[in-house]
Amino acid sequence: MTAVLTARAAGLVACTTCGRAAPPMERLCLRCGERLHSRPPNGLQPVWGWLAAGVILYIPANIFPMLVTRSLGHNDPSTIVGGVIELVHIGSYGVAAIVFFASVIIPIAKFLAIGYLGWIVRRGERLEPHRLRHLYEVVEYIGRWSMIDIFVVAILSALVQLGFVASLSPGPAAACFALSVAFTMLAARAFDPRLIWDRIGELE
Amino acid sequence: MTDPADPVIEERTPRQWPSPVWLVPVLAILISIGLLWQSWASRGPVIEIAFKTATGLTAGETQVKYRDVTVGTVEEVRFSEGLTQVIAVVAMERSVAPYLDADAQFWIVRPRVSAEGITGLETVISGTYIEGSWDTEAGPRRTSFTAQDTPPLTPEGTPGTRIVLRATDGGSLSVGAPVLYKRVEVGTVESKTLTADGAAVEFEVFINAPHDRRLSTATRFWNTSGIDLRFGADGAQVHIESIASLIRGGASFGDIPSIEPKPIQPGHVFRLFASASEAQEQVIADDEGSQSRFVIEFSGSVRGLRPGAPVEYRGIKVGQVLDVTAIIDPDTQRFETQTIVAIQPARLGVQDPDPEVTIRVLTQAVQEGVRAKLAMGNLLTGSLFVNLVDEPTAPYDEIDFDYEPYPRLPSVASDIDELAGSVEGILDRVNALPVEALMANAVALLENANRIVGSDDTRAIPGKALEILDAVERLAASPDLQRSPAELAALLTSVRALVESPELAEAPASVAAILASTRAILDELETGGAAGNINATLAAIRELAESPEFKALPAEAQQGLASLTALINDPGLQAIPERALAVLSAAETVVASPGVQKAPDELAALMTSLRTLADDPDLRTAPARLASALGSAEAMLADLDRDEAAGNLAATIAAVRAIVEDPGTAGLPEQASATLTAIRALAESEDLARTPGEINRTLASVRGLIDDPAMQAVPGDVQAALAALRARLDDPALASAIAGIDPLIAYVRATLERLETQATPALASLRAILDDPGTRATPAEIAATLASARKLMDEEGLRSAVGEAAETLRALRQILDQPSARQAPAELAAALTSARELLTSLEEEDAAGNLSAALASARALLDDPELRRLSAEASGTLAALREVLDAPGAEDLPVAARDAMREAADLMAQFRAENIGAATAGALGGVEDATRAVQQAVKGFPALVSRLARVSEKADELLASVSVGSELNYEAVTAIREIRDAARAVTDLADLVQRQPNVLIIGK
Repeated sequence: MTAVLTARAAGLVACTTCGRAAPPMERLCLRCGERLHSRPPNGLQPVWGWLAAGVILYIPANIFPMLVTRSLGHNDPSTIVGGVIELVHIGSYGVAAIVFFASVIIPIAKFLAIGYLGWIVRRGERLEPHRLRHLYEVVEYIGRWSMIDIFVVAILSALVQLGFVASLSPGPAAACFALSVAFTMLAARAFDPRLIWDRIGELE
Repeated sequence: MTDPADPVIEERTPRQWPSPVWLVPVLAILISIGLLWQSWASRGPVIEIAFKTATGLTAGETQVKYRDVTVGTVEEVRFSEGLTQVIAVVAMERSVAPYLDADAQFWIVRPRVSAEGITGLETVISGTYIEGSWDTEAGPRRTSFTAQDTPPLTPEGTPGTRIVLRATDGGSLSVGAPVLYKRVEVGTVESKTLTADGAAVEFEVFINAPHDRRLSTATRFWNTSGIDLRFGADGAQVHIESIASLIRGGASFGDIPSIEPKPIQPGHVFRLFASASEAQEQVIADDEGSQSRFVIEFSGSVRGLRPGAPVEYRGIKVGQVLDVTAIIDPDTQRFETQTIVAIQPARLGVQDPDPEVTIRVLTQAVQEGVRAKLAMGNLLTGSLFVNLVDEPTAPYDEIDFDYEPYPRLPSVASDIDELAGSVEGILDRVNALPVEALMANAVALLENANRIVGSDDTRAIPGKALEILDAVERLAASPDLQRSPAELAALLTSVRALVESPELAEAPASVAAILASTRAILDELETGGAAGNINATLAAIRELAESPEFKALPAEAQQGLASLTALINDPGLQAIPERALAVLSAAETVVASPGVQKAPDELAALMTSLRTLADDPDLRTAPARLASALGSAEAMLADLDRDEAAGNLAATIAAVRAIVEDPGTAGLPEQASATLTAIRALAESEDLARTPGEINRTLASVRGLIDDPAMQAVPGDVQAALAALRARLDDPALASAIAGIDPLIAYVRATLERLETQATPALASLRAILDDPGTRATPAEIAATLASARKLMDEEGLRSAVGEAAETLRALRQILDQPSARQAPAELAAALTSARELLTSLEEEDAAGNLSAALASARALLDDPELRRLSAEASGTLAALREVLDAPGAEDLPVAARDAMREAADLMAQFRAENIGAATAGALGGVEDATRAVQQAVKGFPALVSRLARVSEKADELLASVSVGSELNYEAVTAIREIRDAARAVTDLADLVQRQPNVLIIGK
């Protein structure tokens, strides 16, 4: 594999925002004013920190009820998985699949993907940088869609406020889930994809 | 190409301490822990509640409420070991956890329709929940409970005392019924269960504080459900505690003052009496240890004697009947009734509770003659009671202490059967009364009376009478009458002068002598067979009465009366009073003349002479001659009969009528008037004025005669006559005569009975006459006559005549007041004695028989068509009689009365036809059964009513809460409308999503 001259190898610092290469002495990008550093100063620590927070909050998000349906004085709290099971019971497989995918599969996949990326760039033996790059972009792109559950809950809670007869209110899990999604997105964002390429040089 | 100088990338020295981003996961951990801790902290203890069924319980949904606040949630529903129960695992709120001790109760609230009403209706909407109840004191924690089947009636923690009432039967007292003290609700019946052995019913009752302080060992409870209606030996009693308990049932309690109250513990068992009176009666009976029991064998029927009937001594209850049974006497193999009674010593006044003392008292009493006797307590129900009576005449007897099972009290036969027999007899008599005939007669009589009373003529009578009264009033006011007192005074002066003369004073003595003579004559008459002659004469008269000619008399007499009326109406006749007044005035003048004043002297002398004459033997033969004369008269009457004298008489009367109607007769009054004028002239003539002088002289000679010595002997004679009279009164014959009165009376009675049989058809004839239009004409005639009489009364002359008559009468009274006049009655008595003897002889001649025959003839006469024709003549005026019947008001009363009588007669006939006696007996027999049935029905009724009442009450409440205008209603309608819209929108959305899932991502 042909060695690729990277900015770092060239002694330059690329701006992560506008892509301008700057001399190492420059602290701030002259074009966009972004703080310049060749690699994140704390390494992968922010990634791990956000990821940990997201994972931790994902636990209560699944334990506590996401949505509390109050109908004629009758409380019916439902968790994320409980809601999916209920949808399956009433035969709405499509909706159940969407909710399950958006609220369970995607967050967990994100945790795994970010954890894998963080782990692989440090200790990975066999690197396939392009695949990692794809993985990272997918994670970045798809992560926001996990918030669909939160949107549904927020919209329904605002719409279905019929007093005694029926009302919906978000449970404690909603906040946890929202935070969890947000933290994972921050974790993905904190990951510096340049690290992927740094390993290539080492491997060669 | 040379590599550019290796750029030296200065790796900044990593900081020694970790990135601040790690604060985020720490914060996340804290949030999670906080959430978990909050969840765990709000989670109280988990308890298990065991239910029989899990109706409506859903894990995770069903809530536990305390005072309508949610304090827990069912987390799991599972079976207990062996599947005997359903266990609900409930997570309770931490706040209530300390109070979940042994007194906590749980039950499922769900819609419940039961005898107590509808409850838990709200759970139809909100779903079933578990209601908990516990007191406000913390206790040792418990985690396992058993749920109640039904909600407890008294909330846990209510201050009060829970006790138990035990009754022999459940009655109408139901769960939820009130317990009253002085008719104030102080408690509730909470449960009603059979005891384990099934012998009694136990009610759990909660008495609210502070009323539970009233409870003591002296408290007695009784059932106040419904109407307490009883017929006992004490009569009928009706008792209603309150309308509320009538509907819901209930129990009351009160204190028995005679028992010393001791405090009770919760759960104390009281006996529930059937009624207040029973509770009071049983006060002493409760002390069963001191009761003495005896057996009584009654000889007759014991029907009507029931357990509980009183045993009385001199009207005071001393015990009660426990049982009435029958046994076969092992010795005699005879059927005997056994009545077991309990004597309560306290009722006898024995204070010592030792039964020996009671038995000793009774032993003494029985030896002194006290015996048991059945007595009628209530005639209507036939209930009996045992009466201990004093029978001092009863054979000596003692209490049989060897008798089994209890000592035997001697008894005597009752007299109930006689009473029943006599009552039956009375009913038979009543049944046999001829009520129908009586009513029919009464109706007929009323109809006749109705017709007569309603006639116009009868109505006219009061008017006529009023006119007569007016005339009388005018007469009284007339100047002539006003003048009369003066004239009267003058006349009285004259009369008094006359009366006060000594000569007149002697007159009564002479009268007495004359009466004595008369008595002698009557004696002669008696001996002369006059009675027989009279009898024969009566027979003749009867024959005469039966003759057809005689029957024609009424018609003639009627015509004669008409003529007579005409005559009376004649002005000439009405002038007569004036003339008479003038004559009287003249007479007064005469009386006032000195000559007349001397007349009494002469009169007395004359009387003496008369008596001498009466004593003449010749006069004594006169009765005999009279007797023969009567005999001749009889013969003559017989001849008359033969010669159709009655016909002649009729003809004579006809002739008289002709004469009366003759114009000449009409002139008669004028002639009479003229004659009276002449008399007056005569009275005023000088000759008449001289007449008193003549009379005076004559009387003087008479007195000379009386002064004769022979005349002096008169008093002696009188005395002799009286002696003779007394001798006669002492005569045994008189006694026998009195003895003869009895048969006479018997005869009279027999005669009367005969008369009665004949009187009945006579009465029937009389009624026919009354029905006859002729009879009805009579009132008109009477009215006409009265009119004439009134005219006569209006005459001035008649008015003065009245004044004259009054004065004369007063003078006469003065004469009668003289002492000598009083001797006359004695003589009269003697004369009456003779008359009685005469009657006795008459009786012997069967005069009554003849009289009876005469009545028969009279009846035949009354039946005569002629008599009816007589009545017919007056028909015209009486025809109007019926018009009065038509007059409003007048007819109502009689007609109504008649109708009523007819209806009553019909009713009585119906009663009789249905055999009233038997029916009454049967009805009396059925009354008791009916009463019992009514009593039971009435007792059952309140329970039914109470259910209905509660059901409707609950339904009312529900309807009230759901009524139009309530907020819930409005909200529900609005909400449902919104839900519908929302649901429609969600449906559309779901459809869209199902069809095109990608719209979730790309938007619509």
